[in-house]
Amino acid sequence: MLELDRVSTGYGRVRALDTVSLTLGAGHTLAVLGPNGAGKSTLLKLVAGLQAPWSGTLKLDGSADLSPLDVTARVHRGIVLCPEGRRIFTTLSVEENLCIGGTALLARPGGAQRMREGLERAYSLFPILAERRHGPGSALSGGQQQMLAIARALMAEPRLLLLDEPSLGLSPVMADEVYATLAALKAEGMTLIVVEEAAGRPLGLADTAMILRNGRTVWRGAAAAARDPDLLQRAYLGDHAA
Amino acid sequence: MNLLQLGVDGLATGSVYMMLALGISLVFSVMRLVNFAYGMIIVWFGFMLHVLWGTGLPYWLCVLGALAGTVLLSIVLARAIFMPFVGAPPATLLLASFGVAIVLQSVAVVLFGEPARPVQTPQILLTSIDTGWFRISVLQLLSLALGLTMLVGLEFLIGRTRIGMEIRATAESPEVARLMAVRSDRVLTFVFALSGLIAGLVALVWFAQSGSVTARGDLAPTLKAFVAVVIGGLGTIRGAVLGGLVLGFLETAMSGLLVGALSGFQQTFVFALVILILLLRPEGLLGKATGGMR
Amino acid sequence: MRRPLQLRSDAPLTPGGYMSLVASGMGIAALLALAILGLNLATGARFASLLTNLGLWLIIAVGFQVFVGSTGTISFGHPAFVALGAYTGGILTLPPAMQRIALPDLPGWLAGLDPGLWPATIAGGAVAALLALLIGPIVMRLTGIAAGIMTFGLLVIVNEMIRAATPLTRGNATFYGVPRLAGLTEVLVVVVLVVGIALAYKFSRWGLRARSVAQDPVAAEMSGISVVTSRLWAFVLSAFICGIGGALMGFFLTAFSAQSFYVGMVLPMMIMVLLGGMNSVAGALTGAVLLTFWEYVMRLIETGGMGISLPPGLSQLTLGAGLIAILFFRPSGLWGSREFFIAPVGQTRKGDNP
Repeated sequence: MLELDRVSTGYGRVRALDTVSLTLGAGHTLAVLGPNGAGKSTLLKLVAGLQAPWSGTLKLDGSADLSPLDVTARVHRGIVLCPEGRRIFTTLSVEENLCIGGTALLARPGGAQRMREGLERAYSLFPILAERRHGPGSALSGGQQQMLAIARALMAEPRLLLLDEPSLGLSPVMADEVYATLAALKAEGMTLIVVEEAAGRPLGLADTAMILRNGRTVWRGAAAAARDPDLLQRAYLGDHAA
Repeated sequence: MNLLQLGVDGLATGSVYMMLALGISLVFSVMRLVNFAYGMIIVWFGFMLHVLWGTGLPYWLCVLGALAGTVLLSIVLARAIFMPFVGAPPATLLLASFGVAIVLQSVAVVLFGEPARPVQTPQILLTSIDTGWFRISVLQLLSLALGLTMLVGLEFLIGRTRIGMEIRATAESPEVARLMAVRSDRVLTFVFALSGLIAGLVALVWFAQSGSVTARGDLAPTLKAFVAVVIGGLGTIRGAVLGGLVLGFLETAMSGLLVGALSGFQQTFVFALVILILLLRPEGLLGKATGGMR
Repeated sequence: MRRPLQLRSDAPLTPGGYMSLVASGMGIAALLALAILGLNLATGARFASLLTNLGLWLIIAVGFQVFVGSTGTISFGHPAFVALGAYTGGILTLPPAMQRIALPDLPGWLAGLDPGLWPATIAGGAVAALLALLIGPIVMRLTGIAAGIMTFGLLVIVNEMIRAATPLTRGNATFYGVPRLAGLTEVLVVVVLVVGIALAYKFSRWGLRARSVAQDPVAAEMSGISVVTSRLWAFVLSAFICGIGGALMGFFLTAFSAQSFYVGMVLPMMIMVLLGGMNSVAGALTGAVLLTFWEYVMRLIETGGMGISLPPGLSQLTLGAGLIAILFFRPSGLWGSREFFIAPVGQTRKGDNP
């Protein structure tokens, strides 16, 4: 579904990603791991269209080149980013947050109908959001905000959902709940890329994993194989540390 | 001075200032631009009305035409000049709008010259009604009605409609709104159109009062709008309402109190008060906006 | 590679480097002044008025730059300081006979002082600096938009006060009869001095503090720098220089009104500083030179002096459009934050070049 071929990018003169390649099949889940500043979020921004590549190619569905598409166009193609730190609209109500998330639907036939269905789906997935639907986003707890952020991203009917640190700052119970939701989405056939610093939960979810350090891919393979603590330590800290 | 009269006059003036503040605040909420060119947009409404009247069209058609022209002007400025600056620091935006004001002013000077041009107003607006307790002119009634309608309309538009929701989302976080496929260019264009419409409506009242327009007449409305938003707080409806009303009452009271040698110092007193307010509350009386005029 | 003249960006300086930086800035200003004087001689003083005007703008632009460059805050209020300088200088030096005609209600203690050119000029700067010192503690708390609006308020207040203080200023009427004490030479001497002061301040401890506050107020505050105080000194010094420029402008024009120092003056000031680079004294000089000549050419065209006649208002149009273009295409100006620097032989270090 998604194919990156030797992509590099950065900010100003600083290189954040160095010749990173990956392929992701439809329905698969990729966990992107690595220490702080490894370039994980940059990778998601690159796929979402918030960051332009310096070199290399990004392809969707085998042939379509992603580079000329801006963020909005990529949302319309089904690539949706659930940003780091949740970033829900605190001044909008819960339902309004979801409606903003479904903006892309309005451009399609039957948009209003699909928006209603999307809301119903979101509320059945996260009943707590239904209870708070008319309250402001700022009144939600951290875990509820994360659920709203995911539900908001789902409103756009993504085919490829990009999640940037979905468990950041959540209690273990809440984090488990978020990952249970992600597992349900995966079971429905959605393609996911999950970026996390802590390896445990995403590796339980993902089919494949890649580990980034200083913008380079240091390890790539089956998620099950990445659960080896030695491997993780070497990959996070560098070979000399092992 | 008759207190009731003061209340009526202050409310009517405050209503005009509130509308001025709303137009500035609305644009600020979505792109952090304090639009120095706002007064010039108002001046251009005056010139458009002046020109249209010269063609012999009925008054209401002239007003409609000038309103449409003002909205168009605001949209063109937004798309050609302001929107390419999106993301620049607020100070850069302020300076750019200063440049826009200068350009609009010099074009007006080139086309219309320096002397004042008459802006016609139907006689009915200038008649006043004496209720026995106080006098109120039809123009003052119109200002109040316009202000109230605008307030209700904006509350509804911002709070209850799809575009209002997108305006609030863009105001809170343009980047995330873009991630959700919100077309920020459309939102900004809409907001500038709205701000242009507001400018046109205020201008209608403004020039009915003065009866004429000059190319350098933008300073007064810009100044009133700035002072009102600084008093009330930028980027909120409440702030614009409060700031406009406070300024309106203040000026009305000043013109009653400051007589003789002191009458030249009206602006000084107003600004002294603004300084005092900013000293106590640097973000204005009602504080900073969190998102989309709320 | 060693070049005798280079553009030098901000860098920590040795005491020797500091002195040579200030000295070379003054040297460049002196060269500029000599060039202007030479041009005046070569043209048989036909352009003396234009060149003096240029000199006055050089002073005002440098004064404005001291504030804008070191605080990163824009100000719409600086014409007020120019105005205070002009009126102070004018009131002090008006010949007694003229004082009785033009200012019959002048308070006795101000009448007949006639301190001469330099004391009156300094007094003009001092009055402007005093105002800055009085209102600075309030205005300097604000940044960005609020500061911009407040300085605009300052301009309006001062303008209104000048127009209301009829016994001192003749109110709305033109203030006339000021003796022509300053000509091209006097103005150019002040240009060189003012450039030295501005550079000495920019690279001094106080200038560095103000600029560090502009870059990161929170970090500066945490390292013990008072945000308000450090910006205040930039404001006061800037007002002082603008006041001096205003006094000299009064002595050169001999007649002016409150309207001469109002909103219309903000635009050229702003463009001069932005065009050259608002963090650079050299930028202010460059901007003032370019803009003065541009306005001269435009005025020539507008009055039909070039064979073609264009409507008035067009020169202002080019300035407004120019301001937008600078902000869009080159917001850091021509020189950025660099200064001209004559590198003493053997002192050129790696990294001095931009």
